[in-house]
Amino acid sequence: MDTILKATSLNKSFGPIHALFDANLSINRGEVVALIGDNGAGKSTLIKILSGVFSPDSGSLQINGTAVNLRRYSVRKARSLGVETVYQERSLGEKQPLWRNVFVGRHLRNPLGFIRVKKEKEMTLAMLRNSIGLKGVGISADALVGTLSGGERQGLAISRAMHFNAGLTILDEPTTALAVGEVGRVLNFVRSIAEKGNSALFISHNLHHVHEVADRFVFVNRGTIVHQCTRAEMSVAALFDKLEQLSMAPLTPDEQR
Amino acid sequence: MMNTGRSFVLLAAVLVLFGTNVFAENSLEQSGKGMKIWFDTGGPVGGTYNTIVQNGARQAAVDLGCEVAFMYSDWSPQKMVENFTKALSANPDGIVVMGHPGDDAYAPFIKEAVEKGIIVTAADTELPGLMEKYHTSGFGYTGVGNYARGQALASEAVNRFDLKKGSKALVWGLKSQPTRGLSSKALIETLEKAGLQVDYMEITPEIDKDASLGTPIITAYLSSNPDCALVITDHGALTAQLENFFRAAGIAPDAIIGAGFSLSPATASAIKSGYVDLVGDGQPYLQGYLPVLQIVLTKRFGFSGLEIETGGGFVHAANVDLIAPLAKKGLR
Amino acid sequence: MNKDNMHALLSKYRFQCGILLLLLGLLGLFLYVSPQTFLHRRIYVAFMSTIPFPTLLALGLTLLIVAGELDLSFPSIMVISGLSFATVSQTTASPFLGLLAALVTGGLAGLINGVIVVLIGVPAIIATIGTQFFWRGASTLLADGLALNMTELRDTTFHHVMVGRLFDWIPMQTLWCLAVAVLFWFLLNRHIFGDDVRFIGDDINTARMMGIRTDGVRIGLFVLMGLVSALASVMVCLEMANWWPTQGEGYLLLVFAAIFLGGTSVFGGQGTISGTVIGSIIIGILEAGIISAGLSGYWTRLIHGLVIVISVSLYAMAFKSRRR
Repeated sequence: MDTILKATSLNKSFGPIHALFDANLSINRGEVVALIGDNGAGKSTLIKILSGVFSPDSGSLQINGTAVNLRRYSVRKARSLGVETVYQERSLGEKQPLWRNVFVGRHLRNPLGFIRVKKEKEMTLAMLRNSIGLKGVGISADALVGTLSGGERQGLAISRAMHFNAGLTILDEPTTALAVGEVGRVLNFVRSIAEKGNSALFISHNLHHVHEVADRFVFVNRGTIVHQCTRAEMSVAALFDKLEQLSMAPLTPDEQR
Repeated sequence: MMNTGRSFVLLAAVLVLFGTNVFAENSLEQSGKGMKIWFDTGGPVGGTYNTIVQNGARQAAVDLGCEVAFMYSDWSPQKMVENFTKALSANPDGIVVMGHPGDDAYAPFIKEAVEKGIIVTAADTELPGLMEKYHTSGFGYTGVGNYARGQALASEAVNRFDLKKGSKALVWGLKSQPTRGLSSKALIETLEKAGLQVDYMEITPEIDKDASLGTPIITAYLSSNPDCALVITDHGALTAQLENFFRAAGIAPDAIIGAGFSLSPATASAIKSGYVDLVGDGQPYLQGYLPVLQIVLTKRFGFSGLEIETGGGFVHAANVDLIAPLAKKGLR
Repeated sequence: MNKDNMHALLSKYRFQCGILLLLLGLLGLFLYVSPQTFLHRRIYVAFMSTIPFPTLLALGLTLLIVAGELDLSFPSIMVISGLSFATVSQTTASPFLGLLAALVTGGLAGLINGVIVVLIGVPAIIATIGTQFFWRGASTLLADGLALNMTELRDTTFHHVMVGRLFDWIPMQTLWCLAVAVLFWFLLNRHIFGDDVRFIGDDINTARMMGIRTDGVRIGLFVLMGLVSALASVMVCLEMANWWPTQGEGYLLLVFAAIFLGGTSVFGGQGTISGTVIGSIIIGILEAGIISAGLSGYWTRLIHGLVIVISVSLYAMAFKSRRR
């Protein structure tokens, strides 16, 4: 079985709120999976557990077929296991140069422990040219992230994940607040992850974008996964209907308690 | 010539005297026993100068058997008045104030204190108006007037070192501060009266706290004014650093006359090495001891306030060996 | 291409170029106005004997500010570490043990700051105002408010190594300070510690998401500041042959002025070591220049203020102009 990540019956509560309830999710290699659900459905709790920000109350997690000790799972650990998260806001240091952002936490170092700046800048430039396609005049590895557009930032964060060959890239609302022209570029980045044989978990409110890139749709509602299907099985319109139907559904007796 | 009869009388007299003395020793007690005195040391907790004042007052308390409670004002006149009202509410037998806030600021509170029968006396800085008014109720003054101490140091320097008319002198002080500045003013005026050409520099708040920062300033001054013959620092900590200043500026010992105030251990060693030549000593220990003594005596025997000038002391190469060890203990 | 490179280089270092020009301009002005002072080596020796102390402090604080933290307690950490130095070197007759004691004291004081700020969660400005009072109070209490004379250390090897005069004229503290500056430059620019510091100052949540151990790095920075304060204090004590209870208090504003003059952002995330060093030098020479020009010392503050306000405004303008 070529599964990159397999999460089994994850539970998470915040005080009285049961945010995640017996959630099961598995993602195959080379697959783009979309997580669909209304606000507060539990999408964000789920991805924060997968990326090591939250620790679940119970459940288990396998990455590349190996069980992960969830007690000692952290952002650092997740990244070292190839699970990389691209947040819309919190993925890049705005006032830092591009090369530092590419290598933050994973710098190339010489035997004395110092950063190999020249090499990192070269690799950053190569990445800018080849994967992001930034060829504008004066673009350099020393440019600050603050000077990039929203789409360029997403592109940088995604190609960073690709550069470090992340087995699974989690994308949290990567297309929100982007100019129309930039959305297409970001969606292309997401597709290119799968083309390279890696996987992506894609969270978006925009079902058109979701339908465009994802191979499989996973519906989350009230803290658990309620429905899954492949792209072939559902049109964009069907996605909308399903989402609406879910958010209108009455509470189960268990939830009403 | 001596006969036995006379010897007998003498012996009897001695015995009687001795006897009465023993008797008296039994009936006399420490004059301040049971008295409570509040004492504003003026400075911060642990300030170099006011700690010596405090040490004097503590010794007086032990000697006289009274109790002294200390207050600290960080040299802020406002805090001194605040501390006074605090002391007033504790209703002690006496209060020692620092005169910095001035007559007008203290007037209503001291009036209240005197009406309550609390004896108030001033130390360090004079309060002439209140002194005149409450002198008979025991309001006294122990200290060196700021102007007086500046005048004394300047004229001592001119006389001792025989400075010629037209020589150049630098005064580095705190002229801009209200009462404290009088001492710098007196230094300048006295030196000018003696015919010297005086330059004045103000001590910045930074150098006030960290004297080390003054090194480039004095070096710059002395480079621009190589004919300077006398440097007076109107500041204890700067006086203590005169040796370092002169060393940094490449001035040999005794090439320029260095003078200043308050004898710290560093100043004492600078006197020995010849970089500092004259230090005016306000004898702060006395400014702690004597006000306490005076309050006790006034309380018991109704004496009037005493006016005591403590600023007559100078330390120089001739007497530094006697005084330096005492300075190390916080007594001089 | 070469021209482009030149341009990129210039624009990248334009803060540093600007402040360097300011320093050279001031020196030129002083030379013109009072050549008798500024053509002589003496004044530079005096600068080299005093400017290293605030510079050392400013270097440590620069890293903290880049990380978006603050330390107002360093003057008091100085005074308590200086006290450790004075007492230990006097009781053991070994100034080297004294230095160790000072470093331990400073490091511990820094650690306490770090724990209060990072683990307990008190904002740095509040926490360090508190510890500033505490250490100042503790040291005056312990020393009974008296200055301690250390003239006996003046002729020791330790004195010569720390604050002696190399070739009979270069103050050793200048060399130490330069060494620390180079070390900190590598730390901030070429080491992952500095990289972590930058990202923490940029946005601490981003740094967390990037897997940076933010707590450890921040505590480490406070400890580093404590160590630097201790080192500065030992040198000041040696240079002045004295420990006194208000030691360090005069440095507070000068150090902050030097850092912001040097182009470090008050919002964190950005700062340069070279800027801080040059800023410290400018702040350190201003007053001497004013005095030797024959102006009264009253001008000092005014000109300090003017230089700071103008340069910081220029930074603000330059920064805005390059944002899209």
